Amino acid sequence: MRLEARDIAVSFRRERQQKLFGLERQTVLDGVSLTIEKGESLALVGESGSGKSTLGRVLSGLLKPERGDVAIDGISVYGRRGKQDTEFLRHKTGIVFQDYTSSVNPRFRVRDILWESLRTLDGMTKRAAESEICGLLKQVGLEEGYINRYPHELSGGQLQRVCIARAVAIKPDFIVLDEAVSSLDASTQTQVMDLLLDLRNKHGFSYLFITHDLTAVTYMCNRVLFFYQGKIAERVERIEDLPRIRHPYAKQLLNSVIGLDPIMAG
Amino acid sequence: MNNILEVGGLTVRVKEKRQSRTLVENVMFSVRPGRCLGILGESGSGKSMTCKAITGLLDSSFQVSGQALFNGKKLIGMDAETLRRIRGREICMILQNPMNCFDPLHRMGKQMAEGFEAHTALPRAEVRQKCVATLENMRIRNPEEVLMKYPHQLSGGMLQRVMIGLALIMEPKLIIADEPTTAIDSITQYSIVEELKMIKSRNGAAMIFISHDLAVISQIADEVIVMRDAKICQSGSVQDVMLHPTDEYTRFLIQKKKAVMQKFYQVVSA
Repeated sequence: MRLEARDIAVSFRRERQQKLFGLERQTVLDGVSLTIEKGESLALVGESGSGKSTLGRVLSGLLKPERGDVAIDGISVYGRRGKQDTEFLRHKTGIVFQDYTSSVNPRFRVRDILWESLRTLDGMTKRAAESEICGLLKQVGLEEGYINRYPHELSGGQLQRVCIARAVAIKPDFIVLDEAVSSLDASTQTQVMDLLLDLRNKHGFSYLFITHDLTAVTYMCNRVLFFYQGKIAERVERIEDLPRIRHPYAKQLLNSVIGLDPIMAG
Repeated sequence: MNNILEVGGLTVRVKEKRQSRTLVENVMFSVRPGRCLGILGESGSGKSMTCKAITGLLDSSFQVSGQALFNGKKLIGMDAETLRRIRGREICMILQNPMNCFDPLHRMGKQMAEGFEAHTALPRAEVRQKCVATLENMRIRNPEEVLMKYPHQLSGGMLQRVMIGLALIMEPKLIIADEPTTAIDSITQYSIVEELKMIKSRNGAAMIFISHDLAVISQIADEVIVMRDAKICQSGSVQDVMLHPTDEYTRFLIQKKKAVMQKFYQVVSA
């Protein structure tokens, strides 16, 4: 799988208009191009409000850009396409959002949350799904006993892992992780990242990892894009080049990593 | 030096339907002036509950037992009014989510002045002056203008800094910071940790710092207690706990964080 985005532009209608029915727009993404290869993790780093999440939504097929296009293996996601191509694109992308509580239905049990995703697969029956669901839960480090629980009966880390299982269930080639680990405890963060790396090695997933935590970036990714005001401010093609970044925001971010002095010195 | 706060055998239970659940069990620690105690643990381990129990912020559905001596006075079992006075003047809290801690309907200036009105009898002009000085202390530019703003017009990092400033106004003897750096982007997080470090060295106040992040704790705390499932599983100086973890859970926490940091240092120093 190879994902290619060309010259993506998105703008939203402004909340505050000069005229009563004004149509002033605010540019959120301004000509962004990038490619993601198979089995690659690309990090997208930027300030809040710089358009990172919007780009994630465009790449995962949730938001049609005003200009530009996204193509998976040369097949356009937003352009005109035949029935065969639509079929091809159906199970290509997954997404995990930052806010896990609002991304699951509170009236669904864990089983239903995962079934909703699995039922889109061809020839999947509810009975066959049962063992699949148990397998998925095991894969994300949860016991089978969680299958009948409601979202409010799980901790944040557990629920986020259910969300990851849901994204992984259809075996997509490309997953957008929109601040998927930021709201978790530090130790759970590492566990979830280990899980994602493991899944990448097993299934050859590609990730777009949206975050502002540089230590997570170096743990997960081999390439980094620094985002600033809707544009790519700097590209780091090899993670080893990270110390040599020049953009002021990127530099500031690098300098504000909180170290682990006593252990690392010893 | 004498301990400013001494806690022993602290237990918190909550009544649930028919059975009671233990949230904090037999917790013991002490804090000295000018030192910082870090409480490390994941969500639900009882670290915030411990502090709420000490400051008397739990209602009657919780059963608190044990001892908490603050400056020789017993905090547990103290009548609510005396405790309230101590809470404002001598013990201050910095909470996790600055966005929810201010009233969205009032300007910052009014909210800041409230604290002075409750605990001192200063004239209005002097209160205003003190507010501006506090903001300047927290390195906020244009303090006069910030006082005129509503909370939603300020960023999370700014509000957190205002809150820290407010906590320090009364020159408290004990500052309790409950995850002040979570849910904030990493640049602001860094500046807040720096701010707290400075306060510790300058004011000589004792501090309790609650966090789930080992790195933040390692930067600011002198002693640390690690909590899991309502109990303390290890305690000691930061150096000691980090370099020689005896408890399995502590070792797990350190190992996980270390793996991430090692990779980062490898990349950065390459």
